[in-house]
Amino acid sequence: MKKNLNKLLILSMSLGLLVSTLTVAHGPTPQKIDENIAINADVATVWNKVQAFELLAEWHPLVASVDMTDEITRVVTLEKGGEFTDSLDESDAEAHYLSYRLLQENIDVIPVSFYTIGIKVEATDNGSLVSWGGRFYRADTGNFPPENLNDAAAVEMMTEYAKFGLEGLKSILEK
Amino acid sequence: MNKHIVFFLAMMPSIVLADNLYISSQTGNEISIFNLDTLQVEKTFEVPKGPVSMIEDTEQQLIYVSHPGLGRISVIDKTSHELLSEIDTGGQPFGMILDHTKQQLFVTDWSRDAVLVINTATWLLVDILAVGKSPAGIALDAIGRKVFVANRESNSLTVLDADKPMLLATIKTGERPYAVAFNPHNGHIYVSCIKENSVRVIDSNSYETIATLKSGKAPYGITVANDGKQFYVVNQNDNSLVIFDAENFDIIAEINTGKMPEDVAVSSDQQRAFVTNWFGSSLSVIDLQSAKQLKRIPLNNDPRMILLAK
Repeated sequence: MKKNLNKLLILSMSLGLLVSTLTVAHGPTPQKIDENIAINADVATVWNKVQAFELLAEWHPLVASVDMTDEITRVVTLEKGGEFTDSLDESDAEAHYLSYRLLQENIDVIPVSFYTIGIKVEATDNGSLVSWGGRFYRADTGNFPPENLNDAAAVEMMTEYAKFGLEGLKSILEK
Repeated sequence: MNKHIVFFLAMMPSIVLADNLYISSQTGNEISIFNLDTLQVEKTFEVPKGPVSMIEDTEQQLIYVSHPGLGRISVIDKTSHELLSEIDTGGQPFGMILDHTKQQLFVTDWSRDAVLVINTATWLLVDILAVGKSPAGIALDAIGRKVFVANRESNSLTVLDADKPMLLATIKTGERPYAVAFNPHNGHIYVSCIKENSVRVIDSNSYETIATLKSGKAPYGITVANDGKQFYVVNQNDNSLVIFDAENFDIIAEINTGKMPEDVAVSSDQQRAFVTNWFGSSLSVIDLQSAKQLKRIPLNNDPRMILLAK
């Protein structure tokens, strides 16, 4: 009885399910990015690079160019092709903390539906520690995502993007 | 009940059964029980994949747990923590609220833009009610018989009749409404609007928006004090807990939490607040009198929701 009832209801709702598979966030499990790198340069120097929201292409090896559409919105074009849009949330010069979010996703190049990222620069004995942390959701937020749009795909790309970014920052600052 | 036990309890008025916190880890597939007296995790038990919201059924001594990724709600025995049943709902069941007077559980279904109604006596899904897009938080006015649902992608709050399948109102909110709490003392509804960085205060009778409060960046979980005089909001991108005065909407205090707080609960004596820090994988224990974090206790795997249970 219970099973039949459920089946009937699920059938009647299946159209809605198909339409809404690519909605944003929350249904699926939020995923975490937590990467950091030590850089042999003082906090002020590192922060100067990090805070320049429009100059990401200078140090991120996966990024070909950045176009600002207004003061807080950047369209990022990747070296491999494809663009997505970030929106700046906070740039705290005292705390050396920058945060931004995904405004317009492009799941063909970065398979996530939404992220918020924070980059923080802290002083250490030998220079600085830069941490790249945040929260994101896979591209297909339905319960049956294909392999290229699932949690693992999202984690892989987000980790790669953060790691390349941090290494790019390090190499340009330690030159 | 055994007469001797009754006598014993009567003689020991200082013994009060302590509340516990149930904390879900969606990535760890487990629930931890945190003892409010010892301030320690007492037990961690495994549940089906991806637990998010939890609701206590005090009459049946059960815990209901939503699993959006499985399209399922699990029913867990409160004493043994055994899995008693699994209710296959389909969709992505997310937020839940229990209506004790009618033995019905209201559940938001993220992917089907609906509220599911489950009979808690039979554990059958009895209705699917259309609401706005991607409903997340849900709250109940048990006396006024209304259910409030935050539609994250529609930027609205749906008001449903708790007794019959009827839409009472759709109220515009700020961008990305997420959590909802109801204050039975003044009839106010609080809605955290993640993208607007605000908490909307809405009158549950007139459906008017009374105030739009700047709480901080990306407000998430909300809870109301037992006496209705204060309410509490965590700001995920500010790493903070804000205490609001429920009468004049002043911010009484802002307290630092761990990284990316997710949910908040307040003890029934209103002395302490507890915040799950999703990114930091910890629980902040906050003294509400001094408005200070007393300690931060490490937890496993990205804790999400908190249930304050007897």
